[in-house]
Amino acid sequence: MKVTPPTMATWVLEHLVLGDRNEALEGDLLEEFQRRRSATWYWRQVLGAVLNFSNVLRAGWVTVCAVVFAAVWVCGLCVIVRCFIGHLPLQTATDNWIPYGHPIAIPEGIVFYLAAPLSVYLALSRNLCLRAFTIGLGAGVLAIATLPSLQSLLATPLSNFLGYLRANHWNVMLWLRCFDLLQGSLPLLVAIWAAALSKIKMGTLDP
Amino acid sequence: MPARHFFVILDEMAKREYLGEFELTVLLALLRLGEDAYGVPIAREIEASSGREVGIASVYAALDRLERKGFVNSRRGEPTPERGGRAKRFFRVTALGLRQVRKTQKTLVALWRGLPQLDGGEA
Repeated sequence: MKVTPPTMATWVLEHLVLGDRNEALEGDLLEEFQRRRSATWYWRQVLGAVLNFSNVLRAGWVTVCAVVFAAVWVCGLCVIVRCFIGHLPLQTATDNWIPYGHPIAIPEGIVFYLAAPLSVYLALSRNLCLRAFTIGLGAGVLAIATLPSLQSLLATPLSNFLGYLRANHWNVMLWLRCFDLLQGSLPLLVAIWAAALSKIKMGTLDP
Repeated sequence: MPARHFFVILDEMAKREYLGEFELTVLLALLRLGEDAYGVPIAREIEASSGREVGIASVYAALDRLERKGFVNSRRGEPTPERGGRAKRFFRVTALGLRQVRKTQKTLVALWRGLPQLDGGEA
């Protein structure tokens, strides 16, 4: 009977090891697992591969910057989500390229909030072009940085619109939070778009 | 220090010629296995001689470093179904690698010789 290794561990191995995919390592682990090794052994090997500092060196500084960049952005999104769930007033920054107050000051939940969007991105792009991700993320942040000036241009029509919504008993705060959430998602959306575009150019994206 | 400089330094460190302990172990395992050595047998060989579990990813990391230094070279094998269609990567020690092992052996033997602490007893 053919034994399959833990699916989640295989996914982690294929997507979360920095740098290019190591097909030989993936094959070796599968081969060795089928030779009476346990799921615990497999997980240990996978985590060893993910946490191996040599991968970081192989991937280079662009990758590390991309990861740090994504982490900072995700912390920002974390603030938005917490405010949204807890019905707290949003603390938005005006003069900072990080769009949501002081995202670094939130220590909890970093792993979760880092893992989720990065996983989405990596799943879409198959370990690929973290360089494209960085560019995309940069473009997204730039878009957010220019958004306040756009908002000031739209201030009067926007306040008229909000007045109209209030008059019609709409939950304005909810809509504003939705807007902020959308704004917060912009870097990730642009990053995914950039990664996908780069994959299409290379002809490796499945239709 | 800018991140770029940090990685340049680390990259330069990796290019140095000397062999680390694990790199030497991997090279010796490769020499014992001869041709057609890949990740799994190398890891097993090291496990058999050292008696402790070895991460296959660590073996690949060491092999990558050795390849960058020119001490080993590798070739890609054919994909096989039992490996989920993934190819093996076969490694062999180069002439430069062999020279480096001899040099390291000479150094270590010279250092070991005449140590009273190591005479007679078991390690």
